[in-house]
Amino acid sequence: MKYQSSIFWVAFLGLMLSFSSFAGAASSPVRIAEGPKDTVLVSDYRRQSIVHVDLKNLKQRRKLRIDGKPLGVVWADGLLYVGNESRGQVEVYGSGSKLIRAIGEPGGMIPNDLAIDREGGRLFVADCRDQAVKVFTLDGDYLFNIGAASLSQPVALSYDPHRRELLVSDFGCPEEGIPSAVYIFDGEGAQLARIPGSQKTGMFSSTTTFLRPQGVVASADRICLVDSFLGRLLVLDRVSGSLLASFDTSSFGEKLLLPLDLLLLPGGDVLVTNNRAGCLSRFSLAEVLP
Amino acid sequence: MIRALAVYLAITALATLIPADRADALISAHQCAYCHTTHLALGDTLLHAASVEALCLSCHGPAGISVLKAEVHTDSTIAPSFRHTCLDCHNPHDNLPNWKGGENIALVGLDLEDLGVARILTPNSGIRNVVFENRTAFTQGSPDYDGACETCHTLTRFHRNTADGTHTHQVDTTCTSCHNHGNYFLR
Repeated sequence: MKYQSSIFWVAFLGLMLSFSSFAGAASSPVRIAEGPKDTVLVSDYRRQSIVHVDLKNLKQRRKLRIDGKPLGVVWADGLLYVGNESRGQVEVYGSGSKLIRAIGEPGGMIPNDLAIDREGGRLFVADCRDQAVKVFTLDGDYLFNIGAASLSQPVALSYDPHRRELLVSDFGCPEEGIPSAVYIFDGEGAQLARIPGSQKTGMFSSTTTFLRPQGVVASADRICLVDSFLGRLLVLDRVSGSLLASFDTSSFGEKLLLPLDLLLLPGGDVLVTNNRAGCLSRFSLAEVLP
Repeated sequence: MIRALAVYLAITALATLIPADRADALISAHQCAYCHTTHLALGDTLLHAASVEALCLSCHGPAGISVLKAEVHTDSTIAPSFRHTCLDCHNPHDNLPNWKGGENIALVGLDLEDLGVARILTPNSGIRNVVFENRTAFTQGSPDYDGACETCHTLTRFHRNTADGTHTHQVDTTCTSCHNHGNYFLR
């Protein structure tokens, strides 16, 4: 019994280490995206690199050094798109990690998050400098802004290729009484829905679901998002916006501290960039995701 | 409804009458409700966030909305390693007067021991005064060595909080032009 217990703890610690070993405590994981060949891509703000993480064991396979602080990251058709905060541009890397081109003028954007519509050949950028969602062709030509009339401070986004919809997390503008919200737009920029983070329910009362929404993704009739303020992973109903589930601790016991992005994995698991913990945290959401 | 109104009025009256710590809300983005709530609070002082550091960095950290980027002051590559978080240097509620009669900016300094002046609990020099009246003056030099950077430093090569070491390093340059707050104050 004593040995069994020891073996269990050794195995448990080994598992914890393997899931925390993505980059160690000195790293600062920000955005996460699907990568090539069973990898996920993580932008590491502190180490100024894009880390290719093996999906099987969440260990680093290789990394690409960025000349600046990387934010948004997305991979499509052999090209890696990186939002470089220091350069104020989106950089495009080809095979061999060669910088092919930069999108936008130097210093023209704070490219907080990126998403790609592969079919439409468009790149979406959540720009914290102009507080706008900008749309470019994949060659880097500016097309138009999305949600100029409704968005206050967009910070993160994702593109749902099945519904051809763009989901945008917006911090709102508390000083003007505009709560944080998740917006859903069609591919042309028409607003389809708005899910507010808090709503007044009476003169002195309100209900709050989220306050500082960051990474957001859709899964059929569910929306998953992380709240960097509350340190939680939330699952919402796509139509009503009602809260279906909330998690603050991963399946392996890691507390979420400043979670910034998430990635849905096949089978219902979710990976979250747990920034203050300096690791990726895994959640099993099979019971709440269709 | 009437009961709720009465409770609300009572709380408002109490908040007005009781002399509280300075909490004047500096700018519109630092209004009370931006950080505090009576419902949904996870921290121990009705804060939204589970930790103050996460709260600050949800706006000022990576992927936050503020253009004033900040990180904790840490370096694990040297000995002794250190890690100083937001509340070690900043008072989140308001700028404080400093001991020289001016007023600090950027929330630098805390009202330690209720003396009403900006001070910092340094790692190995006890509680010291801190003066930070503009964003280019991180060092004050002789005789007080009480600038925002130097008031703590005792092991750095330059700009320590005593006459020891070198005090001529880059005196015409702002410290943060090389040692950026968003980069942990490291180079």
